[in-house]
Amino acid sequence: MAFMDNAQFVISQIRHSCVTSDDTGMSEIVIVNEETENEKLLQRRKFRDNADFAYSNSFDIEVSPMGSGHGNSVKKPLEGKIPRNAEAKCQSVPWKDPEPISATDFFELFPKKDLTDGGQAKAHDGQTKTDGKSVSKLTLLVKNSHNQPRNPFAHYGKFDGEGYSRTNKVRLFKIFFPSPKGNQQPLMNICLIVDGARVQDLIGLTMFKYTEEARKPKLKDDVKSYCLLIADEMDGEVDFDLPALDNGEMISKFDFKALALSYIEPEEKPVLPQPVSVPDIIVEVCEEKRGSSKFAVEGYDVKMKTVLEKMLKKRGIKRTGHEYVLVKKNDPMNAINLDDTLEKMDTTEFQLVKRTNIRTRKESNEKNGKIMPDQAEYFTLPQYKVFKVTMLQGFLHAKSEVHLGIDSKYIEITQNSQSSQRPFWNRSPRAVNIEMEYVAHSEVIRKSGNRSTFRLIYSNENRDFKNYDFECLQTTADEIVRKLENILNSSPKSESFKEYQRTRERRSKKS
Amino acid sequence: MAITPDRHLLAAAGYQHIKMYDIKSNNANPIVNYDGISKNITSVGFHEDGKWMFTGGEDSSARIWDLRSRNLQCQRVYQVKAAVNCVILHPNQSELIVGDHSGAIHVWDLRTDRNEQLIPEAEAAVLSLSINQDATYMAAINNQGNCYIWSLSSGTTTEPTVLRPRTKLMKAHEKAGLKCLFSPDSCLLATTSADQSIKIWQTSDFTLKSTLKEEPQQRWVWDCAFSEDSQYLVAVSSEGIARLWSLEQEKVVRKYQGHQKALVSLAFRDVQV
Repeated sequence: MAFMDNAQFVISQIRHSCVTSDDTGMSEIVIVNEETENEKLLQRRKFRDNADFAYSNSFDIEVSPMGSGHGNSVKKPLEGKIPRNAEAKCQSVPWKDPEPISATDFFELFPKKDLTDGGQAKAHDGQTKTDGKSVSKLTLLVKNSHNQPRNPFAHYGKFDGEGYSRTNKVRLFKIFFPSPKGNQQPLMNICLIVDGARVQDLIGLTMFKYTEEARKPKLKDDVKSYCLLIADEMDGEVDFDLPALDNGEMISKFDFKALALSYIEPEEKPVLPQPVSVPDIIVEVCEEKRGSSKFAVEGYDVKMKTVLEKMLKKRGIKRTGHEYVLVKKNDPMNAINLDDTLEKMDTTEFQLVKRTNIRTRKESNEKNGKIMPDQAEYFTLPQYKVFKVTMLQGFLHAKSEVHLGIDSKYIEITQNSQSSQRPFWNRSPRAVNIEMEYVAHSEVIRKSGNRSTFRLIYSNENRDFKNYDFECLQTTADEIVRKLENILNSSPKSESFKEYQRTRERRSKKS
Repeated sequence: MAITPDRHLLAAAGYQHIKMYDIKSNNANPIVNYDGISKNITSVGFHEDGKWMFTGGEDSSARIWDLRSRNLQCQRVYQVKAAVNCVILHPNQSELIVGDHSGAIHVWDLRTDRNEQLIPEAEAAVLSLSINQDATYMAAINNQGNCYIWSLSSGTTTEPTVLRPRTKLMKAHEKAGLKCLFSPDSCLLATTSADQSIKIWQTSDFTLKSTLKEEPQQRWVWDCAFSEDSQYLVAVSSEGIARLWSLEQEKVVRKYQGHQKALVSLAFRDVQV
């Protein structure tokens, strides 16, 4: 019967089964149009239900070895495992053409059954079919099993390969069920029909069998709540470093024999055996006088850098972002190391503050009697610190009050907003950022009374050395120079630092 | 497919073979393999006492296989002109009714070897035949979706059965009919079709009682079987699901999923309790 409601199947059938037996080539002609039509249809179907279940492409027909006449030579490896006596048990009966039978024998061999009422009653042991009282076994069974729970994964039952090993390609999987409390569930051996099966189908089949066996705890009803992780073949230990298998992938792509069924937490993150659900982590960052922002982060392992970036993005202050630092709400004095993770912070409430503000606060703290010892100063090296200095600009040494901020990466010079009174000839100094990489040297060049002038030498892109001169209290100048020296010494020597040293050596030699 | 009357064996007919499987064992291998046929075997059934088996195939012949002994007493073959799509046995156990691809229905009297031929509709392949248990009606459904009903008069012991056209259900289905089957109590006739539905007809006047269709998945419904008390109907279809319909409630009460590919045949033997 060459008809079927699956054009693909019919075409494949004709193509594969007639290729040897059809000498006329008619089979080719018959399907040539249909095949192109079918291709189009398949394309459309693929387009339409991309992610949905798709049939596998191969409907190739395999002639069973027993029937092909040259049977035993064309055995597949799987079939080789079947004990021979199983086949030996099969009795083969070839068709034999009938011997002539005499007409009288016909009457004896094929007696006509009397279908009149009496005969029928006898045939059915007195049972009448239409009395309406007697019921069938099926009806009874249906009635008795009325309240039996349904297995929501019945759909996946078709991938069960048990008993199909002769006809289909099947693969055995060991499925483990990792559980948090150590009460390890016994593993389950799953035999899957590989042909056309996706990872999701293996999950479904596992859940189907799990439900069939009425294991506890009960599974969620949704296949998508679970994923398969790669597990150790011997003890089922799950390798959490490797990602879960993609649900949409064909199972034939993977070569793992042992897998672990793991529950996926609702936010699609394969969370490891603790079934404690991790809620979205909301970080609250407030900015002084500008209110607070809340946003979610992916987990406790995000770096504080990310938190800062998110906050800056939210506030639209990306451009001047480097002026800001994060501090803990309950510890507003210390800027947070941005390479630390959120987990280390022990809090989700932060403050976004300008680096300068931290400094002023610190200063006020110091005034209250907290004086940092030298040792501490060294450890606070990378920390941002702002100094109030006077910048000496240009040839005339025009003075302007600036903030000099220093941390391990940058030196920034910003105008002191408070110094509003400025002589008209004085250009307001531009805010300048110097990367520590370009800073070559710093030294105190002049001392007068309790004030010192110190010089900062840096190189620009053209490798020319420039300098800034600042004037401030002597102690402050010493501190700045010390801090800069420490930073320069503690970090790998930059090109400009080395070059400056070389030029200095040359000069000193000349002189 | 067919189950032997003693319910021990399942016969599955296919390409060049009829294989018998032991239903009650876990042996996945056939225990008897009947071969020697050149093409597909499309139909298989049994004498009610299991004396012989009948088959029909695309080699345009209906055959009788002697199951009882090695001497093949009642081995028979009956040749028609087109591929045989369906063969049924008259309840009197001595007439085979053969439906072929050209649209002809042959009534083959095994005792006299005579045959009678009728063509209800030319060029419309007969895909399924059914006779009710009282042998009062015979139904045939063809690939045009038309269903023909005959009244049977069960002649005397020597006369062959006479078929009188009773009614025809024109366009019983929009698409090709695939199976027709009388219920055991003879009150109902079920027809299944490529139009993805099952229709239940009342045999009292051959009017439509209900249409069983499950949206949206159900595809071609290939085969069906009644429970012995005619309360339920199992039907199989191309999407690989067998459904148990309650005919009273006209709804699916059970679904049997688990096949990879299309289900095109069904064998079912219920028992009266």
